[in-house]
Amino acid sequence: MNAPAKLGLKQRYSLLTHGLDWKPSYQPMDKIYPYAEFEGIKIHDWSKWEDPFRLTMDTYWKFQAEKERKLYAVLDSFSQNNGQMGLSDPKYVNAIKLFLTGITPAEYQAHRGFAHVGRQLPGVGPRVAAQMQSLDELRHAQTQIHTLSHYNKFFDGFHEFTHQHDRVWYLSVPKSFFDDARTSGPF
Amino acid sequence: MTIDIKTLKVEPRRHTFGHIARRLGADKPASRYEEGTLDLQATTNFHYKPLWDVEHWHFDETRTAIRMSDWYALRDPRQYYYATYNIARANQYQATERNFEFVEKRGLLASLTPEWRDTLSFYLLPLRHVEWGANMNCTDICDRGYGTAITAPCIFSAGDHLAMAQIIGRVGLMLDGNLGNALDAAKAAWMDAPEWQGLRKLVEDSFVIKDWFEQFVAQNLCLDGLIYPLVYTKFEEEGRAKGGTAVTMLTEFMTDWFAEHSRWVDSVIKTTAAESPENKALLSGWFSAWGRAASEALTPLAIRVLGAEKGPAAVEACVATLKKRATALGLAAV
Amino acid sequence: MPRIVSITLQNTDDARPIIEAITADNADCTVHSYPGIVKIDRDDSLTVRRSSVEQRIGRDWDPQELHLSMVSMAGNLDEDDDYFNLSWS
Repeated sequence: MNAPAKLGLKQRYSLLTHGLDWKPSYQPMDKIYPYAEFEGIKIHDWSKWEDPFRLTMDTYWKFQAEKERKLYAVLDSFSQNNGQMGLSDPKYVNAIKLFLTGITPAEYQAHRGFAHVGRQLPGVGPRVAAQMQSLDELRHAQTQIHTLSHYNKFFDGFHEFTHQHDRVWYLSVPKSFFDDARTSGPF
Repeated sequence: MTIDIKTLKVEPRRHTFGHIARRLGADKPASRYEEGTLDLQATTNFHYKPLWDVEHWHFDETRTAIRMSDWYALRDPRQYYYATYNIARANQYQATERNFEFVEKRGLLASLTPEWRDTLSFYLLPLRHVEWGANMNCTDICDRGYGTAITAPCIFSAGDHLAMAQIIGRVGLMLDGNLGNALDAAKAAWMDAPEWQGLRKLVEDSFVIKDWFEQFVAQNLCLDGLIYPLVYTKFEEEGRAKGGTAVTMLTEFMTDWFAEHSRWVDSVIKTTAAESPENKALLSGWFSAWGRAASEALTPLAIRVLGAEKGPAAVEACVATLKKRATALGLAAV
Repeated sequence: MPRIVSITLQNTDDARPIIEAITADNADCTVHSYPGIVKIDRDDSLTVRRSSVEQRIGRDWDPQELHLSMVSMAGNLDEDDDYFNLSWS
């Protein structure tokens, strides 16, 4: 049996990922991708957009799992040792309150927004990249909640973060930005 | 002389976030799954209507005919959040990786009889396109669905389907020594071979389903519910006598995944059906229509793989199992 | 005037050989140290070479392992089996 040809990272990724898509014949393109053209942008060749990271899904899982194991070990350790007692400046707590109320719900919006892009753009490359981004944004939202969960136990101002995001005047700024992004077209 | 080492005990002011405590009924410690899922999606005071769908808000319960008094009743029994999902999948894939190395090192695909090698290439490799279709539908549901409880697991499923498409791709590369010809031939079969057109049409039809919950039933219950048992049990059993055991090792991930994923799908369907007779009627109707379409679409392929008698019998057996499953979930018997 | 490319890595044991490989292979890097992280800036382009890292850690190394240590990056990415390159040109 012949030895198999050695596949480089770029070729292997291309064979395993770009080849997955096909030109539909039972449903029209503009019904499957209804939002691809309304913004006025015309793409002639989707294959020109290549995801530079070229992560296959199993590689994504492998690296992310390793990072999460380490991160949650740090969070557990912080919790067990009451890390909040080591703060040198109380202003830090105010900063992270703004973070949880202002940014974390926006991370969640970005997760849903990238899911939208990950379905609606006709090219395989950008779709896979957007889907991984959607996963990453969910990661951000959840790791932030899990990290700040500890502070929530000892400080006020964290415990109604989703309620506040949708109502407090200064939080309407990030809310508006992400509502705007989420409601715009895929491009 | 005794030495007293005092530990510093700091009393917490509360155990969890307000919205979590209200759901749990009291302020008590919550799990990471709960804190990372419950009430995370905004429900009000949206600033703009979507340019791409002015009839709805970007998070809108009316994108489906299904009605839930609480969309967070649809909890994931696996309790996956991002970290636990990735860790679970990375662990599961280690076995797959080892199997690929083992099969490659020992050249085990050489044991395939020439006829089965052809049949295998014909039925397995084009399935990577079916997986890609499933990836698209799961991403679609994550986009259009309501509530973190059901939408977050959908992006996980999308990732799962991409991984399985790539596993099939790797099998294809192993079959032709990394030249890519096998995958090209599979694409041609997917596009043109008569045995595949019913399924390809069904997949393309599933892309344009308007109601995202109907899409959930069509993809996660009907399509998946027939394809995995048919291909990874019935077809593979046939292959085992023809040198196909190595392939079973390479696709073991699919069998394990299907069992795990079904626990989630079943939980969602059961809870939704139990909510109201209207939900039950909708779900039953969708199940009946898409289930029938899926079994019809798969029959030509089954005939090609198992023959004119065993083929349809295998499909019927899988359909019978699926109907029993649906009945147990509370759907009206069809 | 060339734009700056940058890579930011966690300041851990795993990342140390990578940081050393980068500074050895890329002339005129500026290395900034912050709590827990190291930011390496360079004009126009920067390359992490597989062979360079392998030399320092004594085992096979896949450039994709960079994801375990990388916090942030700036520049267009070109990655293959033997290198991870950031540049603006």
